[in-house]
Amino acid sequence: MGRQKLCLGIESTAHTFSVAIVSKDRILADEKEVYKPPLGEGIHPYEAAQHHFRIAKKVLQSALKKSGKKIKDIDVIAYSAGPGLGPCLRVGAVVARSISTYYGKPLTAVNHAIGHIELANFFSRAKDPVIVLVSGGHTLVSTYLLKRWRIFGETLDITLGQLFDQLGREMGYNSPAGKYIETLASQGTKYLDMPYTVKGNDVSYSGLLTFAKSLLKKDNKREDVCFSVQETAFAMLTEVTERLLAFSEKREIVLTGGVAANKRLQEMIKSLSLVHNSSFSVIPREYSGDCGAQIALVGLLQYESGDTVDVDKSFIKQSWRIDEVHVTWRN
Amino acid sequence: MEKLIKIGAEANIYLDDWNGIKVVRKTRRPKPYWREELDNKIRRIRTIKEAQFLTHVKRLGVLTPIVYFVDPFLGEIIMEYVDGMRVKDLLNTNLETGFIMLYEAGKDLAKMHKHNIIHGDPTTSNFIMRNGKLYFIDFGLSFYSTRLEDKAVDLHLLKQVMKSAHSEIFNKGFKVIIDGYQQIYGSAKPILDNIKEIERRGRYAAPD
Repeated sequence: MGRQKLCLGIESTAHTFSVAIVSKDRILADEKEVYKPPLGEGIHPYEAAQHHFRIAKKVLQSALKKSGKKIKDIDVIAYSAGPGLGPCLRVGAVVARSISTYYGKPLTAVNHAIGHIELANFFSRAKDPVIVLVSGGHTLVSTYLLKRWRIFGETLDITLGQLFDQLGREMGYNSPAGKYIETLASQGTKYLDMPYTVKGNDVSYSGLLTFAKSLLKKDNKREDVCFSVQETAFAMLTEVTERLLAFSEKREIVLTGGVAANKRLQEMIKSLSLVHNSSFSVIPREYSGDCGAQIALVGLLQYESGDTVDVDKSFIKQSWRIDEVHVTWRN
Repeated sequence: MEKLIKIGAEANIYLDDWNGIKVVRKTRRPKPYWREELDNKIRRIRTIKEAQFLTHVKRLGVLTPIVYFVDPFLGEIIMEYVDGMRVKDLLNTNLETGFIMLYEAGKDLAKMHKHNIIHGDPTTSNFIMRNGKLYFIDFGLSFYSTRLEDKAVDLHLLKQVMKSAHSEIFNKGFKVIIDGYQQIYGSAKPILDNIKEIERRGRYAAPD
């Protein structure tokens, strides 16, 4: 028996720069630094990239130290190649290419969203789940079929994360604002009637955002607005999740992505899983947001199935849907 | 003799006896995880709409179950039991007949669109074949619209389902649907162009 293979993964799609080291069954280290925009503002891609360059070395060193490994022990370097903000993606890619070239390690390019999915599967041990991926970049429901994670339904405009960030910004919070919205919502008592938009298997949140902003300008309590937005937005998502569950006849639900940390959303999806006699699991809170572990884990899976990329052919893709990724590590 | 035959996305489907007729009773379940106000509103509206559209589209020549009784406050419709096979399953067992049914589905969708009715949920599990004829079910998300975009979204939904659930036969399957659609609608080019536009708007879709 040889020793277990190790992958060093670099996450760098948006706010977060993170480096993780994983083996097939363990996360040895997962270190990160998160860029914080000024109060009441959203992410500025160039500033975020500057931030990532400044702290890259520190994060890399601390991940190695924490794992107790040296670069020479690592088998493969993985980086988040997309989707994400160009300037941020380039930082991760440059760091990964440098390590790969200097130490002669193979390189593999990971789709960030697939990272959210497979990391959640790693924890839940689900075999063939319905995936609910909710974050700043994605809001979709998916199942696996014939070498692809298929998108069954998704947002037609903004994501749940963006809905919360933009509503938060309106109230003077910085992104990601999900936790502020959740706290305010938990103090709300009055349900205000909101636009509810489900088109087949897709949801749309832009109308809800505009409406909620207008309610804030009138004399409504913030707590009630946040509460009603959360209830309505999650109701729409649970509806499409139920639709996929009924259509696919699968029996496992896995909730992942940054917004998966929301307790009310967990409670709603858990409750619907009981109605459909399905299991429910949610990614652990510390891994729900963007992290190196999601990249390292998929990187390892790709490496073990022979899916690597030459440095001179390595790429970043700001636009990269999950159903474009040919999955090499599943049947 | 009530028997639960399917737990759907939002409704339970029972086989039941109603005045000596074998019927389907479709009950929109209260959702314990939704706010009651929202839940009651949506269940009531969809039940009424579904019954209306099930009946209306018959006049256009689209086969649907006969509606016997509606209770909007219970969220319940009692309707004819269409004892057939879902096209979703047919495509896995008898591809040739499956394609014929997809062609019919395309035609039926065009009949509705021509009269500004948007089905709202055209999936292969909502197409049922009985005695070689195609039945449309599940009109809970249906609405009237003259907008090209709404018609395109309807076809886009069906395309997504074909791509995600029937990916092996996607190309031919979707082409057959469009062929059927165009036989009734005439050229669907503006609608097909609009579908491309919708896909371009999708998250992280690479520009052409």
